[in-house]
Amino acid sequence: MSFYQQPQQFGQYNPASLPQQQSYSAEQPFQQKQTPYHVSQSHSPAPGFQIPAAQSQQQQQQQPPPFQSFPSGSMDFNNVSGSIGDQKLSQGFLAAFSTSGYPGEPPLLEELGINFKHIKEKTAAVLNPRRGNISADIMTDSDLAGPILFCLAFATFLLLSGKTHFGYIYGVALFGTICQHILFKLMSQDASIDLIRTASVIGYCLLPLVLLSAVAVFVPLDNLPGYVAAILAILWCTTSASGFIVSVLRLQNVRMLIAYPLAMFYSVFALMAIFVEKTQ
Amino acid sequence: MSQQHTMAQYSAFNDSFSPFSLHFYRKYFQLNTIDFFSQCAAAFNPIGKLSDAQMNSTGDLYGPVWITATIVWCLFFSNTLSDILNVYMTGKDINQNYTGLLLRAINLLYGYILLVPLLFIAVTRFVYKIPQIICYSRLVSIYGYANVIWGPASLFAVLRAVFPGHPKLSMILKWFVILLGGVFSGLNISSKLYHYLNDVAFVEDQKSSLLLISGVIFLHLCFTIIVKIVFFGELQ
Repeated sequence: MSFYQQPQQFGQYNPASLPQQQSYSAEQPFQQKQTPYHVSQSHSPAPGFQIPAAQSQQQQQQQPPPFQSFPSGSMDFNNVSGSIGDQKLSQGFLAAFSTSGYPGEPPLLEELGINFKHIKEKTAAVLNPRRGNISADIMTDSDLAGPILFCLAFATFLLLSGKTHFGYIYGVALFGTICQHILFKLMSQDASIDLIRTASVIGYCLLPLVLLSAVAVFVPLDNLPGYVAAILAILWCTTSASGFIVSVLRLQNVRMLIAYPLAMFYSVFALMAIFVEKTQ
Repeated sequence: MSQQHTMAQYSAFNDSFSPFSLHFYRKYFQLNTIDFFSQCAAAFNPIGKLSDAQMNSTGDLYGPVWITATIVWCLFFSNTLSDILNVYMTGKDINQNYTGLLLRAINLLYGYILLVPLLFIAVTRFVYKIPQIICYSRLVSIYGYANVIWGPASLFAVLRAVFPGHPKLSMILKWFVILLGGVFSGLNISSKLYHYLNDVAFVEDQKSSLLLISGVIFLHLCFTIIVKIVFFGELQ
């Protein structure tokens, strides 16, 4: 449960609602002792976080049975040790190398917030920019696993085609993301955006350029078809990224203004993918 | 209607932030695509005026930031591309420090649109003691948008590489580009500021407003000549 809720906390961050959430979780152990019904209530989102009904239903279905009695997560840390305190972990030196853990413990990837289903969904959304309106919910899970994967893939493809640009890629990505984040923050009106979300959107939308760099491993792109392909890839990246940002910020009629800096940013990456550094 | 209402709310909301917080600068970036392109189109009009409402509002900084970035890019691109074409056609190697060129472009353009408005504000406030002072961001906005003509003008200047054997023709093209950019943007800025001084700030003394405008035009002339020297070869 907490795994699915954490991105919500990131996404719809609202300073006013944070203290509420803390006090809510502080009350939880007490409520659980009173009636068992409160256990299921604790799964409903705290006030201030609006999860669409369909989505929360989906979450309920996805939960494996042990999860129902396992309220975990950073907020409810005391609660975790309380409910499973009577089951001992295996002791001893060798236990450190074993894979045993607490019963009902979620897998490591879920604990780390890496959800391959969400990554796959978002990748599909990036690859399909012409799809009517992109829902704001799909980007509420602002993970960085996908972007790091894509950045690494991009750098690796460049490496395979004989360009060692790791430093450039990380530098440009970091600097560009921070600058664009400041711009998005300035252009936003009532919806807020945090740096992680910006990095997530920009990183996911790098995917068409990753494909371009994959092509560049086999075919030299420093020719006319290569330039055309690069321009198309930049347009693709920019279209999907600006669509996501506009839907996250809930803005109208500013897509071009947001797309322009994004296009500049992605064209730097395209230049890296196309041109080979002359070493003499 | 509702848009205006919310905008007013935001400006009231933003006033409570200090200039050191990011939220303070939000009011300078509240624009949409239609506003942006209509202001760009208005910048091509050499005798354009701003309406009183526009004159009294803060003006946006999105335009100055990104239009100036685009012009820096256009000037740099025009230079490097024409050099490449020149090398390709004549076979002679050109030895130029392009990083320095880029830095000069950035300093010159951003410096011009930031410092000259500051000077204008200082002079109107402390020398002429004009009571109704135009917002600094609005002045930066006027200067930033007025420079938009330099973009197409500098891209047009790529053509100078097409006739490397005709220095006269190349020179005529360069001066044409400089005149196009300088005259259009200069007229645009000075007509807007003249309108401000006469109709909004109600400067009574006709002589002082003419003096101010001639100062603005003189500075723009200096700017244009520096652009000519830096990007379009030495003065012949």
